[in-house]
Amino acid sequence: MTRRFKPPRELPTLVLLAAAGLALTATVPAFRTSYNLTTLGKDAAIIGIMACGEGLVILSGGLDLSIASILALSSCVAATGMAAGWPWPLVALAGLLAAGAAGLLNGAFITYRKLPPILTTLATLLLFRYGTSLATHARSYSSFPDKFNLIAKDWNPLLILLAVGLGFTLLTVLTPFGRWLTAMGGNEQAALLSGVPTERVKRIAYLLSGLCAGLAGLIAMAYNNNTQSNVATGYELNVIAACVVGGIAITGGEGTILGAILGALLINLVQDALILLKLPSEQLGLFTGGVVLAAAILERWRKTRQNRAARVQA
Amino acid sequence: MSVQERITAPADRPRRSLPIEFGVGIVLLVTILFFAWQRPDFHSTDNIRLLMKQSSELAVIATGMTLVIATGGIDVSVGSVVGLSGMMLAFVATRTHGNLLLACLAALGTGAACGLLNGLLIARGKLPPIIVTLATFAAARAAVQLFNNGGGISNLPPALQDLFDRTNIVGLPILFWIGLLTLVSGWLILRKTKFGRELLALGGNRTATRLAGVRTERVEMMAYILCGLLAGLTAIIVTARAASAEPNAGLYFELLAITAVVLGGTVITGGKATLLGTGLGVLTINVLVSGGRLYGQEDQVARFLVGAALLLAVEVQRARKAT
Repeated sequence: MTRRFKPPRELPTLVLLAAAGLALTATVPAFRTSYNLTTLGKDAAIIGIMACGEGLVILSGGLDLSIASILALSSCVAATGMAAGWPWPLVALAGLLAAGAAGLLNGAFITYRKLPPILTTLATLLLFRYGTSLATHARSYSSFPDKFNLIAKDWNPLLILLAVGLGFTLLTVLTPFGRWLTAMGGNEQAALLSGVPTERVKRIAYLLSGLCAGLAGLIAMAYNNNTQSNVATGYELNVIAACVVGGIAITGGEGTILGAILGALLINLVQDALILLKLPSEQLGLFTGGVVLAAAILERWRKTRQNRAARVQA
Repeated sequence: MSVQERITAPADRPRRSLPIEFGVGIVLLVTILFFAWQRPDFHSTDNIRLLMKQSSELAVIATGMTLVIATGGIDVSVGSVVGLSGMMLAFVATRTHGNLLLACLAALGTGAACGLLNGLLIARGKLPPIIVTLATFAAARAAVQLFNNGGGISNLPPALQDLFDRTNIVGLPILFWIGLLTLVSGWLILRKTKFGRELLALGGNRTATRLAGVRTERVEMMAYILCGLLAGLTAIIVTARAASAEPNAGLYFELLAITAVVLGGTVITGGKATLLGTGLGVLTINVLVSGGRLYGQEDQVARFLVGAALLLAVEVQRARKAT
């Protein structure tokens, strides 16, 4: 029997991205300016880096709603240190550590206490965001060291996204961790019975998700040269949308990190287009919502077709 | 001693446990007593009346959320639907020169239509509830911006605010009665109707319920429609109280509603629901917010505490299941 060609899950996203990119390059001169492209790259990097971590969590069959709050936490921790005049590499590391600790806390609740991921991260969304807000008295920090702000200069955010994406892709493709992750997302019980340390894999996934959000927080504060506890409110939805748009099945087990990054690029490209075409950028929600639904319907269709094929074979 | 008796030895017999609402009831009592002791303003008549009005919004929306969670689903779009329905209300009210009946019907209709969309995609389309409602969450909030170039609408007929915010029935604010009535209706639906039993059965075991001959698709769809309708009702309350429709009205309502429901003891995976618990959960959240305000704090403290309460409630629920 010949194997039918199965198009990769990222293909629709890639086609849409290429088409939208080409159309904008051809018709809107303002799109081609390096200022616009680097801004777009920065936005895409912030969403994309978070999508890498969120992608791991979703692949494992979980969900992390607290990432935007972790972003605020890490940037405010780093900003407090810089305001106190401590050396920036140390402070940036402290921000990342805080984000990692927040991710670990999520993972601990979900694995040791067996709490449902949606509710746990919903609760920590509130705890991290308003905890940060209370601790900093919602004050606004600005004027960070120039050397620190370099991480968000020109194409640097996009390069960081590439590095993170490459690392995570290798992690999922080459290591047992990656195979365990997708196995768990497909069928957690089966994975557990075949010896996968499911709880540990989950903890690592939430930890990495927290770290990614922390890194995104550092980039966001460096670019704006400013941060506050209410930074990036609501970003978690854009990130989840990026993952789903990029072909990661929301129920877990299927999809790739590359897809999550492509999804992030596409969403930010559309947002950029709305701004360039002088449409209210809040209407991005209509697009995101529509595309998320389309992706879910596509997933559903794929599954019924798979089931039908399996039945025919049997 | 017969064999039968030995099988049901005392240790195996289900121990009579406290009602599921007990936990949240204690928390509520303690918070009320604490604020009443620390802040004399807390139990002033004005503050209690305000608390009643404030609680009504969340009570209405949490009733719908309880029904949806009872089916094993979730609706994260309610906050955005409140925003959209409120804008629709204001839009119709200004276009019809203050026809309030028509405006309120428009708000309820918008809510129900959003619920229908969710329900169709979830029940008929067999798509995951979190994804569908996440999509409508984003879309409805964006659609709000289509009115009045993304601004609010404030030149509403004063009768709207008079009717909902300043009217009393038996000396208590009408909003209190609306909230209570919604909760009681929800309780009646869930406990006393065939639809309610089917709803709980669906949340308990979907396949078994379908095989038992229940039209699960229709029941599930109905839950989302009711939830949307109640979001429309909440929009009327919110708009009337603020005397204007704001584009970001209803922000975070989904979080608060889910928290109130879970805090009250409704099981997040479906099949078991308590509207008494939801009512107590709503009060707890509003007492925390109100108490925080008396301390001169912004809502940050309250939201932080709501997060902690949610985590605690889920943890307690899990411990209950383990025993």
